[in-house]
Amino acid sequence: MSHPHERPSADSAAPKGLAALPQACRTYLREALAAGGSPAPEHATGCAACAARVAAAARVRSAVLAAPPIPAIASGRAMLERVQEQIVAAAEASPLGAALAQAWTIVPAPERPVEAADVPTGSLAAPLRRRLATPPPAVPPLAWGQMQASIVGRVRAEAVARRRVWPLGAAAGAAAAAVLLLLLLRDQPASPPEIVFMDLAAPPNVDFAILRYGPPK
Amino acid sequence: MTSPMSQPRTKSRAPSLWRAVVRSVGAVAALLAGNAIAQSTGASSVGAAKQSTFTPAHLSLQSIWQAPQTQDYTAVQLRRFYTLPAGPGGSASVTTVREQLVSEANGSPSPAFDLSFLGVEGELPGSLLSLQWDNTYQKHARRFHESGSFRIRDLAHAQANYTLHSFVNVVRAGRSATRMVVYPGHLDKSIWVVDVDQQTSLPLYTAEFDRQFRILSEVEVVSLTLAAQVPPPPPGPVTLREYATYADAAQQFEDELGLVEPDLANLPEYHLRKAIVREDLLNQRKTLQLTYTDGVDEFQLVQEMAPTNPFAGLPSQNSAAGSGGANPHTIARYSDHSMRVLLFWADDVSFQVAGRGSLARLDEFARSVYGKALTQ
Repeated sequence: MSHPHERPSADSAAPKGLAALPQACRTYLREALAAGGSPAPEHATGCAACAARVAAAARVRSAVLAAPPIPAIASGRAMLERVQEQIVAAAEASPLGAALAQAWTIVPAPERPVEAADVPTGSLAAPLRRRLATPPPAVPPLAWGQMQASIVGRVRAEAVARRRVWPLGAAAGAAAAAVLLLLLLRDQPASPPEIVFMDLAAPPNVDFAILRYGPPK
Repeated sequence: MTSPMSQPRTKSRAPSLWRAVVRSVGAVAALLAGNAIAQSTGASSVGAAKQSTFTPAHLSLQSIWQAPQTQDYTAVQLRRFYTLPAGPGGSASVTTVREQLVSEANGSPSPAFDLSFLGVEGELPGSLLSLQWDNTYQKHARRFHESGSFRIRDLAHAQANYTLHSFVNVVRAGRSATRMVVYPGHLDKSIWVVDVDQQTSLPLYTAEFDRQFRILSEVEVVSLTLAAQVPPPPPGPVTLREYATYADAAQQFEDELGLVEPDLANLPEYHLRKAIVREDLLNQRKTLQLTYTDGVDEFQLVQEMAPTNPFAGLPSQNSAAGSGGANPHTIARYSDHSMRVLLFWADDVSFQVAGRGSLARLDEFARSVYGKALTQ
């Protein structure tokens, strides 16, 4: 039996191994394993490790997708009834079964059938009928006014809350737009600087001037 | 359906147009070159032959490119610097410097060489101007030789971007030479008139013109000896290490975050010729010099670590409120018919783009580099 902590460590080893792969291999394996095939055979041709991983994945995939045959003894009715009885027995023996047995009081069955005359309908129907026949008391105008004021106040409060949220949303939108614009501008080539010429009245003191005119006077 | 009359007309018109263009360009270039030479040298060393067009079969861009790789030589030559007019009412002036070039072939496109100062024409040795030029040559002689005159820096690109036209035979430094015009495929580059030695294919005279046929630079050989002994280079406070690619050169910097590898989208005929890491041993400051060439022409992008913005004090850099249109992303530009320089600073690196004056496409090149420096 394996230790519970061994499984996470074994699982974490796989991402580390994948992370150590080059970016091209990771991309290829991600697409190949998702597609269940090899979308770019040229990479597998040049990379033996990726080809081995894809081949192993194909073998495991075929084994998992093929459903194993069910044994004949397990599909029989007697076996299913035994399983059902074991489930019921386990439920009755569990604490939940004991709690249900205590709370579920069993009403003993009457000795003779209950007749309609045994039910005291008259004593119960008179108060109910009286309540139904009496109209409900009218709501005072003050209560309606308070209710209207509370509804209007809630609506106004929601409007104020929306107004308070709007600047924050606008600011967030503007910031996002600014960041997006900055990214776009950064990718675009910078405009060339403006270069102008300024003519000199006399030849500068450079070697080429000496070549043409001799030493400066 | 093509008309039977139009096809022969098309076939006959294209060569005639081409001949007309070549004839006109050649005539103007030869005339200008002849005038320039006559004015500068008094026609002492030039004797233009009377015969008409002559095209030696062995002279080509390839033979000119191979000549310094296989030939040792020592040349005394005159280099002329055409200065701008000083002020609105001033006039342009020419300074002629006599120098000696010793080139020792080593089989590579970059032969060992030494360029030394001999004197300023018309000035006594020891004069203030002579001392100033002597000092300039000590610092910039290498640049004068590598970038200050006509050279084929990459044969394949030169053949793709330039055409070579031969005109007349001349005598230069007592040697037989052929006057040739190296004409660019793009009109925003210089036109070169070159007198090529018929025996060695070495250039004996080079003159650079813009498309308005204004002369920009000139180097004239006055004596040539086919022998050379390059002296060892003196130790200096600067080391230069050359790399073939930008990435190799950028690795030499501890913090290469601010450096920029430029995009040559609007200069497709140019390519990186060399990347040089220049280190000043006195202050350990490193500079990355990227040189681009189309085979003949070249321009440079210099990147230097500069923690402080050298343009920070300029009004254009102050974008404070109320400054009115100030833009901190400003490129300081200087351009005339001879040179174009663009200066800017970004991310602790100062940038300098320098090339020929007519190459206006350098503006967009600098803007591209600046934009890349600001956004990377």
